[in-house]
Amino acid sequence: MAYNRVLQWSVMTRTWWLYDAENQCAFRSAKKIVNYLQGKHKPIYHPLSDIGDHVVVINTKLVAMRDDRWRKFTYPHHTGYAGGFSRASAWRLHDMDPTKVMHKAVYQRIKGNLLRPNIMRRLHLFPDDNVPDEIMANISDQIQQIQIVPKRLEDYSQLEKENFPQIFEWPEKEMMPKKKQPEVLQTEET
Amino acid sequence: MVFLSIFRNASTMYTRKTVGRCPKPDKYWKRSMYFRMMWKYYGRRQHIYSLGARTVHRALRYSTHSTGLKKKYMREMWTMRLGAACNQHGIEEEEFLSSLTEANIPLNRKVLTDLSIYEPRSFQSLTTFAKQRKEENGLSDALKPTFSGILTHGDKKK
Repeated sequence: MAYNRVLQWSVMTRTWWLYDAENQCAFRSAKKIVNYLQGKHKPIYHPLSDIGDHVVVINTKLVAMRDDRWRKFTYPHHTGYAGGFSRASAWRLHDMDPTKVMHKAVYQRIKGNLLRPNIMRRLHLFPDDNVPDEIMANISDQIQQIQIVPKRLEDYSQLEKENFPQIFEWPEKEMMPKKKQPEVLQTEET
Repeated sequence: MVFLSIFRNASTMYTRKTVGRCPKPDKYWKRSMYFRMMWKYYGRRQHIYSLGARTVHRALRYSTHSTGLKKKYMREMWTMRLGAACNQHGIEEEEFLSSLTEANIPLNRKVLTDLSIYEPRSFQSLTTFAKQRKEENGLSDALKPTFSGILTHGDKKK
C-alpha cells in the first residue's frame, strides 16, 4: 500500500498509561501526567484536537511531599457567603480522601477552560494498587516515575547492614544500648 | 487618436472648483472596499459607512499585530511537537538539534515536525544518527541517567 508509512493507529487511539505514585512528589508528577492527558507527548498535538490519553494513577495514598509541606501546604475553600472561608492543610485533606491531593495537583496544572472537565475525566486515581480488571485490561504502557523510590533502613537485610563499609568502629561506651526485641516465635518448618 | 471621455466630461471637469487640478476620485470605490469588509458585522455597523469603517480600522490593526503573534505561536507549537517526538525516541530536543547542526544537516523545527508526523521512520533514523553521534563523542556515559526498576517504552528493546 502506498500509504503504509502514514498508518499510525496507535497515535490516533486513546492509549492507557499506568503511573505508580509511591513516594513521588504530587506536584511534579502532576506536571508529567498532564502532558499525557492533554496529548502533549504526541507529535501531532494541537490544543483543539482531542488526542489525550488515559492515565491510571495507583498508590496515591503513598504520595510524597517535600520538607514539612504536609503541614504547611493548605487548600483554601470559600462558600461564597460572608465568613465562608476555610482552609485545610494537606495532611488533613489527604486523611479525608487519599486521592484528593493528586486530583487537585493535576486539576490546577490544566488551564481553566471548557476542555478541562473532559481532560480530568480521563484521569483515574486509586489509593492503592487494587485496580478493577476492566481498567487494568486496557493498560498498555507505564509512565516513568519522576524520582527514585528511596530504600528504607528496614528493607536492608542484616547481612547488607553488616557489610556496609565503615571508616572506624565506635567504641562500646559511645553506642546507644540496644532495645530488647521481643522473641520471635519460631515455627517448625515442615 | 480620439479621446472621447475628455469631451464627454469637459463640461463637468472645468468648473470653477476644478480649474487647475484634477477632479477628486470617486468615493464609490473606497466605500465599496469598506463595505466588502463590513458584511460580517452586526446592526448599523454593517450598513453605515462611518460606523463600520471604525471597526474595520481596528480589525486591520489587530490583524497586523497578530502576524507577529502567529509566528511566535507556530514556533512554540513546533518546539512542543518536536520535544514530544524526540522523547518518543529517548533523546532530548536540544541534543538532537545541536547534533544535527554539528553534522551539517540543515533541517529546522518545522521540517523535523513534519517528518515526525508524516514520515516517522525517516525521523527515527535521524534520531538514531544523533544518538550514535553522541555516543561517539564519548559524553553519553557521563550523562546517562541512573534510573532502575522501571521499564519504559524505550527501554524494552535493550
